[in-house]
Amino acid sequence: MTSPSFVRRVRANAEHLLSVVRSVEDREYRILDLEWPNLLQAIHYGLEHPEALAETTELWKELTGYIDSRGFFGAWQPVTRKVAEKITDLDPEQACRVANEAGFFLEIVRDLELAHTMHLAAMETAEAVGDTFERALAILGVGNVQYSRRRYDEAEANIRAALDLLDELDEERLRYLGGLTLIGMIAFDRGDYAEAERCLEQVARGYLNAGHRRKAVNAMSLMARTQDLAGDHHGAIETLEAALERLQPGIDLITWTDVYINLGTAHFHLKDYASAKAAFLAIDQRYLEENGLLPHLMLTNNNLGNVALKEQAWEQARDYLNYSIGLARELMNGINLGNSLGDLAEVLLQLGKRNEALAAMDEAIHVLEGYPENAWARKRLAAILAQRRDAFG
Amino acid sequence: MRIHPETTPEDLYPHLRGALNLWHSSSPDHLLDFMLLVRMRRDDPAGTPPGDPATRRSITNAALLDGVEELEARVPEDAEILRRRFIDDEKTVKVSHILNMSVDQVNRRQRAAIVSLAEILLAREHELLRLLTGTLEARLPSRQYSRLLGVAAAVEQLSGLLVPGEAPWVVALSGMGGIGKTALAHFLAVGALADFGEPSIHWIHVPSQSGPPPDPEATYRDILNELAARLTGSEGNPKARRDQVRFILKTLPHLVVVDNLESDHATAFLYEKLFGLAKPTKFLLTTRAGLGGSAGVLVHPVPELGFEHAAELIVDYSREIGMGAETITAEADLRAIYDTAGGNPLALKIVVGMAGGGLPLGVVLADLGKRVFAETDALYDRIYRRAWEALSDDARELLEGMPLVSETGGAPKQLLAFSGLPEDRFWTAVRELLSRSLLEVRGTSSERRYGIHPLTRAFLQTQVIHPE
Repeated sequence: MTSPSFVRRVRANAEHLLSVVRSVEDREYRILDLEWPNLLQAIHYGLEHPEALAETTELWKELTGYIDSRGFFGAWQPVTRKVAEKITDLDPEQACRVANEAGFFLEIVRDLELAHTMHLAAMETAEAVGDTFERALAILGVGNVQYSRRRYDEAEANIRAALDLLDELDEERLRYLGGLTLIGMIAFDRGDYAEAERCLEQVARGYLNAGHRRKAVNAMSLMARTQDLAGDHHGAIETLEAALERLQPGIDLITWTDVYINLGTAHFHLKDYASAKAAFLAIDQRYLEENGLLPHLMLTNNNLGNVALKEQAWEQARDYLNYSIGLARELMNGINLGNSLGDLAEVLLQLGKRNEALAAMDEAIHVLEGYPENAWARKRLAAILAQRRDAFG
Repeated sequence: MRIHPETTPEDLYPHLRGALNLWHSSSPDHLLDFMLLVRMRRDDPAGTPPGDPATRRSITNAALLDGVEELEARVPEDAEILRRRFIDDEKTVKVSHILNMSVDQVNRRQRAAIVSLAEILLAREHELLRLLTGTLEARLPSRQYSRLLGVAAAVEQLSGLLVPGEAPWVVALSGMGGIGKTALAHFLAVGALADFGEPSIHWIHVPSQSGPPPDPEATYRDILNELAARLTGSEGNPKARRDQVRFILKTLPHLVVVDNLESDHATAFLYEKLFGLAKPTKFLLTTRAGLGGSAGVLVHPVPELGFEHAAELIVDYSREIGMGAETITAEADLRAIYDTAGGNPLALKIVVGMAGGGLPLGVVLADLGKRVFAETDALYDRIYRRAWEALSDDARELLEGMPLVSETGGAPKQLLAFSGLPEDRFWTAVRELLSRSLLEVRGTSSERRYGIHPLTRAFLQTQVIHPE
């Protein structure tokens, strides 16, 4: 039995912190950094008391922009899972909003099963209460999960259906742009770079017009990746430099990391290895690890491994690539695993370890053959097969 | 040789004499490695001499020469004797002829000159130590004690163990909350400065968390990451940097304090892990776990204060909270408080705080009842319970919500919001709780925050928020 006066305080505390979060603009996120342990504490207590659940989930939902900016995913995932357990205790209107928000976050941290469950729950509740907007978001969320599972056709069908609904409602342009981003990403994965760039440019412009700086930068970063893979490396660098001008160093940590990964990659493709290395080394790997941003950590180390390979620093290249491979296995990210294994094979050949190189190549080929629908995976597979023929006949 | 505040020039004399005798030698003896003055010149604060013997000798000589120059300004004749005898390597007989003295006079004068040189170097050594202590303390958590009571024997024993180069490699201070483990560790860390050097002393606080206990593996990783941030460059992935930390700690002596371990599980896990990182590095842990050590770990239980020190604390604290004429000084009162509350500093302060709040001491003590030694937890529950009951309604309104505040402390606005008090009554409640040691000041002077001690948190959780 909890003291009723304490429960009142839990609610008052959540309400107070909610007002603090709402009053803080994204440029002032350092204020929330200071309160971060108290915010986590408030949510921890709030979720334990049904009487404080409404305020607490509102506080949780209000913090998603901050989390998205700071990338504190490691700490947020268990909190979100707890929130997900409480969905049925909320009133239906709040439940579908919270379920959708939880679903979108859980997709980011690759908790795909629970993300899918959340969006299905949101869809059902939204239908029951006649909330078309939340229903559209739930469909979008399901499409998002399908995209992450690389089921591109189903994903595109759902996302387009959601976009049609959102277009009709015309009340929330931001979510529409989020859906359009996914359409661009699907085109990107399929290798239709022109379509991807067209979508992402439209998204970036939309966000800029709506004053959503960080989301615009995210879209610009994705657009630059598209330009880079399409061979327009200078164009990619130009886009990324324009993106960086709109970022706040030390605030938009995760977006900043994305931009630097793409910037380094574009320099790498231009054979400017010094600039590539400088960009990758500027990334704070401790921050990535502590916040569970393992995909970023994996890419950074893969890329540093590639730079070391070009610099003929074989031992260093092997260390970076092995670390990246370990992370790819942990994340069950087959495409990046195959990619890093292919690079590692090249390093091992240089080190005279032919048997290990052959084993790495064979594993890379086996893994990449599982992604025939992904353009980049196909390209890497072809390159590794050629590499194997050259080295082993 | 270790230099401490009581070291006299006479203590230093044989070492200086040895060093001066070897001025022109490349012998590894008498390099004065124990002096920070020498180690700082070598850029070797941790005392691992780099460079060849001749280079090391020239650095020791430079430190001596600085002292001789200062001596020259004070007593030129003494400085001249030292220069001629050791730097110019002239025989005593020759010096006696030049200075028109007997050989005995030269010898006596030379001895006095070395003692004067020792005075100069000791003063410089203490000044350097004072400066470095300031630098070190800026990196440590703020000092929560004005003076440490009742730990002289522990300090004597433990500071002798916290020297580089010999076992034990892991020392754990164990004891219940509020007993003074962190204060003792702080004191020992500052005291180890001369042995380890300021840059080689590290303090890592393991934060308490609400919810499920943290994974000890994650705590261990966080400790390594903290050290990596201090000891390694920014290159390399986190795993590579942790490997680098392991290498550095296994190569050069450091003193790493890991403060605030709570569970038996985490403590046992870290005993083993940190022992793997130790030698020549030493670890000093503070833990609430009541475990014995594992192999190679020396566990030092931090005991409660004895009567004399408890009495000193009671007198000091009753003055500090402004009891004025009511300051508790009578032997019988001091004994009665000690017999009731035992020697936990926090518990003593809470009892004194109750008396300071206007309750007659006799009433406070009668309510608490006689102490039963086997029932320490029950005693603290009773002390807290009585302290709670003696609070004003406003103070209780505020204190009940304090578990909502994290270890980093909460801003006044947050406390105001959950207490539901109007601002003037809120500040009165804050002052009341501070004077009862039930609230602690956190943050900086420009941005005050408030928090509570883990013992207070435990009481509120079990007795106020979730009473059985």
